[in-house]
Amino acid sequence: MYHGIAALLGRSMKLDARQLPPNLFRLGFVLALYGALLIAQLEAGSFGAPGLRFFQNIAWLNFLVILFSGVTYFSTAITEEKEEATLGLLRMAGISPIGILLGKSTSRLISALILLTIQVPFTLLAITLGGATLDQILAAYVALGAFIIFLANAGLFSSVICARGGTAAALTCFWVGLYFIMPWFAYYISSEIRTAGGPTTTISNWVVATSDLLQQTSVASELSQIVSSGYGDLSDVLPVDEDGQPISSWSWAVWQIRFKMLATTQVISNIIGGLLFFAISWILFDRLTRYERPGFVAERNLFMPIKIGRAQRSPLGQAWQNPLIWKDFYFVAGGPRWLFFRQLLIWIVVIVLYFWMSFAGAFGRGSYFELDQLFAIALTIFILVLIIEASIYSSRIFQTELQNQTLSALLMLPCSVAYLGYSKAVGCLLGLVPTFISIFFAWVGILASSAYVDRTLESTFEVLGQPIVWCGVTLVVIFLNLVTTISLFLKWGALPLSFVIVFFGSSCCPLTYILMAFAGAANDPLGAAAGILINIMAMALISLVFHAVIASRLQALGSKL
Amino acid sequence: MNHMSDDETQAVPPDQVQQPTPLDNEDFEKAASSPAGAAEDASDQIAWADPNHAISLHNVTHRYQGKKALDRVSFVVEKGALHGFVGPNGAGKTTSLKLVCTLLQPQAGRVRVFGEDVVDNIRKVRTMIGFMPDHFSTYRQMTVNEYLDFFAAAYGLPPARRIEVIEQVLSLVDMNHRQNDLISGLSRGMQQRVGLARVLVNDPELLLLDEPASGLDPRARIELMDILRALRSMGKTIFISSHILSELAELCDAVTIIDRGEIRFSGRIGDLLTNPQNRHTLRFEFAPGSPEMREALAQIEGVVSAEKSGEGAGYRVEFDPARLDANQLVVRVASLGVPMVSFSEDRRQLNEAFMDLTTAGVR
Repeated sequence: MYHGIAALLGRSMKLDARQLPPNLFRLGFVLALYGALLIAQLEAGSFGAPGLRFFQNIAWLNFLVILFSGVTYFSTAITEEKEEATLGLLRMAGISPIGILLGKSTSRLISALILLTIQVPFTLLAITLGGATLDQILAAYVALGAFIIFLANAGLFSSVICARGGTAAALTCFWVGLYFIMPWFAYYISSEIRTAGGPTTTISNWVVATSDLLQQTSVASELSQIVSSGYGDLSDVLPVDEDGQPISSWSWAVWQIRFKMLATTQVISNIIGGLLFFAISWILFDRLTRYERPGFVAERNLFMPIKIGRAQRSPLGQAWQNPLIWKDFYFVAGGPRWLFFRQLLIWIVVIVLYFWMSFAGAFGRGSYFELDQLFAIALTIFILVLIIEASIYSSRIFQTELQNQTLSALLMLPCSVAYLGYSKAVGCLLGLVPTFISIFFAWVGILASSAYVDRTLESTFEVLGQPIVWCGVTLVVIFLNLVTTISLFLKWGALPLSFVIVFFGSSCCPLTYILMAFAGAANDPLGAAAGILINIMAMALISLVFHAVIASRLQALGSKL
Repeated sequence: MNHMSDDETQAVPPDQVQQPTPLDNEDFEKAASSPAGAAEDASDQIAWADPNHAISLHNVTHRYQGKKALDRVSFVVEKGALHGFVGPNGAGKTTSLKLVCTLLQPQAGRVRVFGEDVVDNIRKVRTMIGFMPDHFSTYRQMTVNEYLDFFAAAYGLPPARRIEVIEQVLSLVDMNHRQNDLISGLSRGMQQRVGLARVLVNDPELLLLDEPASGLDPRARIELMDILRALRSMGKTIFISSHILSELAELCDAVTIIDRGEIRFSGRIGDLLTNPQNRHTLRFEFAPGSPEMREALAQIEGVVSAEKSGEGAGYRVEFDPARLDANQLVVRVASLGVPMVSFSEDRRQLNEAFMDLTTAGVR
C-alpha cells in the first residue's frame, strides 16, 4: 500500500514541479512579496510601523489567495481522474482508496504548505522593518496552515462526491460559505441569549458554549486579531531566571508557551474539520467511485432542459444570427431562465439579509422596514455580484473552448479572431444585463423611497463625476482583461493570480499614481473631467493591448490543437 | 514569406502542364534520392494555381522552434479525389493539414485550395473547407441539433435552410434518431459521426480529415468508410490522414507519403503498389498433387521469375508487362495442362510500400 501511495505522491509532486503553470503561480507569489515590500517602503514615510503594514498585507494576501485558488485547486484532486476515467487504472495498479486519496490530495496540500512555508523567512523582514513580532508571524502562518488543511480536505470531499471539477468547486464554495457564516450566526445566537438574560437551562448553556466556540473557528477573525498591533506580546508571561531577568525568548520554556499560544481554537478546529472531511471521503470513496462513468459528464444547468416538445427542434430555440453570442449567453452565462432564477435568489438573499440586519439592530433600534436601506443593501450587493459575475465570465470565456477542444473549429470559421472574441464577449455581457437591471432597479428604489430625491440624484451624479470612481472602474476593467489573458496560459488560478497582480501592481505602477493625482482634482470641474478622460483613455489603451495579446494567444492555441 | 507569384505559375506553357496527376513514380524516385532538387524538377511542370487542384502545396517549409517540420514540401490533390495522407508519427502530416485549413501560415512556400492562396484569401478558403481534427471537438453540453445549428449559423446559413441542412447531414451520417441527445452521452463512434456532420453543414468542397477512424470499433470504422465513399460520389474532395493503411489502400484513389517533413511519394495508389521495377506478379494455385511447375513457368517468354509460394501448389510468377500482359500469361499457364484452381494479382500492399519509403524510428 505504502509503495502505491509513495508512487502516486511522487508522480504528483514531480508533475507539479515540472509543469510551467504551477511554477508561474509561485513566481507570481514571489513578485507579490516584492510588491508588498515595495508598498511598505512607499508607505514608510506616511505611516508608522512599516513592518506591521508589510506583515498585514502578506497575511491578508495569503488568506485571499488560499481562499480563491484553493477552492478550485483542491476540488479537482479526484474529479480530474473521474473526468479522464483513470480511477480504474489506479485501482488496477493495486492502489487502495486511502492510497489514492493521500496520493492525490496530499501532494496538493504539501505544495500549498510549501508555498506558505517558504514565505516565512521573507516575512521575518517585517520584524526588521518594525511593528511586527516573531510570535505574530508564526501565529499567522500556523492559522493559515490549519485553514489550508481544512480547505484541502473539504475540496477532497467535494471531489469524491461530485463527478465534475466545476460542481466540486461549487460544493467547496458552499463548505467555505458555511465555515464563514457559522461563526457569525453563532455570535448572533449567543448575543441574543445573553441579551435575553443569559443562559438559564442546560440546553441554552450548551448552545452558548457551542456558539462561543464556533466564533473562534474562523481564520478571518483569528487573522484580524493576529495582525493587530500588540498581539502575542510575551513580555508579561515570560518566565524569569534566578536573577529575576526574563529568560531568552529562544529557550525551550518560551517555545512551550509559544506552542500553547499557537494551538488556538481556530487551528485545532480547522485541523479536526479537515481530518473529518478526509475520514468521510475515505468512507465514501469506494461507494461513490466504484462505477466509473467514462468520458465527460454534461455540464448543462437545470434550467436548460434537454427534453423538448414535438414541434420544437431545440429547447433553446435556433441559434441567433450571431451564434457566438447565442452560445456564450446560454453556455457560459447560463441562459435567461438561469439568470432570472439567480437574480430572484439574490433578491431573496438581500431581503432576508435586510430583515436580519434590521432585527439585529444594525440600523439602530426602531428603524425597521426602511425601504431606502433595503435598496441600499441591494445596490451594494448587486455591484459586488456584477464584479464577481464579470470575473467568472472572463475566466470562462475561452476556457470552455479549450476544455471542449473547440478553439480550432471556431478559428476556422470565416471570420476574424477579433469578431470571434468580441462576439463571445457580447454573449457574456448579455449575461450581465439582469444584474445591471437589478442595480438600476435598486438605484430607482433608493430614489423613490428617499425623502430627498433631488439630493439623492445629485449625489449619484457627484459619485459618477469623481475621477477616483473611474480609477476604480479602470482597475476592474484591467483585472477582467488580465483574468481572460491569464486563463489562456493557466489551467486554473487565473482569478486569484490576477487579483494578486492587480492588487500589488496597482500599488506599484506609476500609472495608478498619475490617475490618483487626477483624482485629487475632483473639486475642479475641469480637473475632474480631465481625470475621467485620462482614466477612460488608459482603460481603452490597456484593454487594446490585452486584446492584442489574447488574439495572438488564441491563434497560437488554435494551431496547437 | 517566399510566395511565388501567380504569373510565375501561369508562365508554364499549356503543353507542358501535366494533367492534374501529381508526381509520378519516376519523379518520386528522383525526389527520394535528392528530395529538394528532384521535387523541384517535377514541380516545375505542375500548374500550382490550377483551380482543379483541390490542394496544392508548393515548396512549403515550416519550422517549430527552429526544428523543420516540413522541408520544401510540394504535392497536389486532384479535385474530386479521395486522397490518403500517410506518414510515421512526427512526419509532418498534421502540420500540413493545419496549413491547408488555415490554422497555420506557411513560413515559406505557398499553399492553395482550389487555386486560392490560404494566406491571401483566407476567408474564401475557409468557406470551401471542412476540417475534422483527430480529437473530439464538440460542445459536450449541447445536443446534436444545437451543435450543428450553431455551426450552420456561424457559416451564415439562414434559419430555414439550417433545418434542411441539418436533416440532410444527419441522415447522411445516420444520426437523425439521436439529434436531441446530449453529445456527452454519445459513444465515440457517434461523436465522430457528429464531428463529420459538423464539417458538412457548410457544404464544403474539400474535406480534411485527420485520423477519422482512430479509436473506432470495426463496425464504426466500416460505416465511416461507407460514408466517405458516399461523400466522394457526391463530388467532394476528401484528403484523409490515417494510419490504417489497408483501409486507405481500399478507399483512396491517390496517396501521399510523407516522412521527416519530406514527401516520399505522391500519386495514384496503383502506381505505388506496383513493383518498383515496374514488374507485375500473378499468383497461381494448382490442384493438390500437381507436379513441380517452377521450371515450366520460368520458361514462359516474358516471365522474369517463378517461385513457389506457400505450402501447397502455389507459385508467384513475376513478369514484364512490356513483353507479356496478364491475360496472355494466364492463357499460357493454362496451356501447360496442369489443373489450375485459382489465379490472382499479387500486388504490393500499401504497408509494404510504406515501410520501403519511410525511415524506421520516430523523430
